[in-house]
Amino acid sequence: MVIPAAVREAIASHARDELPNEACGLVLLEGDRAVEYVPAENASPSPYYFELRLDPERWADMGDRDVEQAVVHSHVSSPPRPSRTDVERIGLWRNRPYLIYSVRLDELAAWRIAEDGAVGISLERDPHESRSAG
Amino acid sequence: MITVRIPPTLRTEVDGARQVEVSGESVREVIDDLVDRHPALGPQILADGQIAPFVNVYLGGEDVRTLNGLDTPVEAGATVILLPAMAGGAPTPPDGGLPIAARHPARTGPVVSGLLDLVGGTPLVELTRLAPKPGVKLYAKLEGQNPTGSIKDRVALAMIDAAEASGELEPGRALLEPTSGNTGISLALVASQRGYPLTCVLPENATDERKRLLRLYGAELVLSPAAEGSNGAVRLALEMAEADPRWFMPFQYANPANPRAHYEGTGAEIAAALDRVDVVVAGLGTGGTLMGVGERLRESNPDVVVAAAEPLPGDPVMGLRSLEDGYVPPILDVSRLDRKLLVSNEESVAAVRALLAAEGILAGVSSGAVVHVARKLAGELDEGVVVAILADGGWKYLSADFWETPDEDVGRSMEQTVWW
Repeated sequence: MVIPAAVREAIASHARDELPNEACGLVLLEGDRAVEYVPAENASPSPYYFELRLDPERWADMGDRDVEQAVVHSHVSSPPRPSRTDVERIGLWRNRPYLIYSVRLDELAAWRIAEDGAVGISLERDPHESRSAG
Repeated sequence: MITVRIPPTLRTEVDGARQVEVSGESVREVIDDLVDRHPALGPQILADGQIAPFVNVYLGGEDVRTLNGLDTPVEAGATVILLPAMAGGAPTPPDGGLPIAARHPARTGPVVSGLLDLVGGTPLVELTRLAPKPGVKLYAKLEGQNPTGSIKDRVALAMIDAAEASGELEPGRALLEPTSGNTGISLALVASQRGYPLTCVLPENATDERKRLLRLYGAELVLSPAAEGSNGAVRLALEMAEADPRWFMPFQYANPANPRAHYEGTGAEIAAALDRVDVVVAGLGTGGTLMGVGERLRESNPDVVVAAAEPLPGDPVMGLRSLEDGYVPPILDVSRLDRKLLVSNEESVAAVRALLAAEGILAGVSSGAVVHVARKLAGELDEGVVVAILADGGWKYLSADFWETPDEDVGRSMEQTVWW
């Protein structure tokens, strides 16, 4: 998965703005390339929990576009690895792209999560940019 | 017919369809019809006869769980939206919370060579609970954070600096000032640090805390008749200064260093901190704050509304100055005030109590008047930024009984004391 620097910074900036609570949103992907970050509201603001809330019509419209969606949320201080809560609450998002950004470590990681565990997705440098996405 | 929009996460169960047409008169009937047509959806969206925990069902933009659940009626032609219910979160530490340092990162305070270097630079705190509507941001500038606990530290320092710079004030002269409290305390601090004796003229019904504080800071007191209020203290001090030239009277009511302190300090700080200010509210005392802050903020936004909180005429207890009571300070140009709102003691006390209860800010009585006016003007806006300048903290008013007095008795309880 390729995360351009602008998308990565949008994720990081939103996560910093929401401190001390977790931030959440969606990344829209064209193929394996992230093209946009859509910040969402954390409907249960907490340093240890997120509940993604977006206008339902807007989210449904995004689902009708030819883009794939990845759920994104921040961990305030822990590493960007799926927690037990993330796995237990994966629900309909099982085996779909899932990004976690650690604010403290300034690290972004991508996963596919199922009830029995998570598999990492490698994040690659944007070939048009000099800076690493990860 | 009812249209059900299907998210990408459930489209394999409906042969890739983005939406499905079904029939039904309630959410339950709609989902039952949907599951009849696409049985693979059943275990994904229903659990124990209810909407499954990982699915949200929306009708008219509302989560049907917040309406009437599966029994929510659905009108013909409506659109029902299915979406994933996404939640998760970081591992919770055993103690259930972040280290305090992570929640409240340490901020480096200034290191200064003396207390007077800490005058000004006061914080702006957003009053999220007292803001009357979501589109209007209401900020309080906490002047109680100055070294002696009031906005007058700025004025006292500016007046002494200006007098020393002009040569009017030299070692060996004595300071005299009419003040019912805050300015005297501020002048006493500055005078003690610069080596001048200070005599304050104040109404005899000023609070005991004020009198004690003035004495503790090293000031001598001359008491003026209670019935004449702040104006009586001004009259007596002017008479004393005229009779004896050894006095140097900074006289905040006529000293241009007073509004300049607010132009260069208070107003400049607000302009630098906020991208936008639509309304600024301060109490009408000497007029220094309103003149200086107003002039500075107009440079950034010529349309800013400069509003004064003024006590009702004949109401000496507020401490704020009613222009109807006969003395207009020379530094005050009433034409530079865009709004002037009258506030009763009862309204001021109600607001100062609300400020403490809702925002945790213990402020002085005049701040109640200012917050009352700020909320009123904020309510007139659809969106914008309102700044209320809170002149001092509530610590100097603890002996007053209005904090706990029943609302109907507030007026009577405040009749005997000058609060400014």
